[in-house]
Amino acid sequence: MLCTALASSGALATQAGLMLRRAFLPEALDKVLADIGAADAEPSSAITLRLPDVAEDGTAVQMSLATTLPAQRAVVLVRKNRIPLVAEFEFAPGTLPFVATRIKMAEDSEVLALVQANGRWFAASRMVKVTLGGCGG
Amino acid sequence: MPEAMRIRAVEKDGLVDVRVQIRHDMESGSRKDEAGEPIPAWYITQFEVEVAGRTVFAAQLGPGVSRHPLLQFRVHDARKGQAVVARWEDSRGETREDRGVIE
Repeated sequence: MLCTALASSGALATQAGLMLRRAFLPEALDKVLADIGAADAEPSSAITLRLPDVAEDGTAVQMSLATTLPAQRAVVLVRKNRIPLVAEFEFAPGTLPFVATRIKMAEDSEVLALVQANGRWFAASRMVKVTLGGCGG
Repeated sequence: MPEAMRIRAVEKDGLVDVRVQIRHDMESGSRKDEAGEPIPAWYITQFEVEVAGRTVFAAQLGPGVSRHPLLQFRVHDARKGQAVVARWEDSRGETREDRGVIE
């Protein structure tokens, strides 16, 4: 049902051709990486992933990512969430490859940021301890 | 009718900082109500922002984004007075569009 809903939603059509349009499903993080072609993403110190070391409230964990790579796209994943894929972001030319938002985390987990630049995937990750889990999506 | 977004776009030294606060429960589908019945998933799936009629930022969101999502990003080819339009669509097909101006 979820796949159908996503595939048929076309109101915001301007970016439809560019988005990965990966469904948000309960599955292993490594499967998501394989599906989007990022299984061999290269670890990069050019990505700055900011998260607290300890999140007291897993329902709203502040995160930001930025990169000096010429990235058009970024993906955020939480390894231990039931649905690891959190969001995908697209930066138009003229928009900095930077985004900040709040995410849910069910428990202590690695958080991954992937960015795509010049057709290649790069990755950074951080461990976050969660005091009170946030029913992580 | 979904609640309005709050859009704040401020130019400083040629860089426009955009913050959009969305009002949406972002139900994950894994919570239960007081009677123990599952609360169905209901979350924003698509989000995009235009400045002066051009899409500058787009996102595909899942239920792992927190309730009442706050999204912040930065645009360097925009200027004071330009129109900002933010739109979302959720997993039930509801949509919302709101406008702001770069200050």
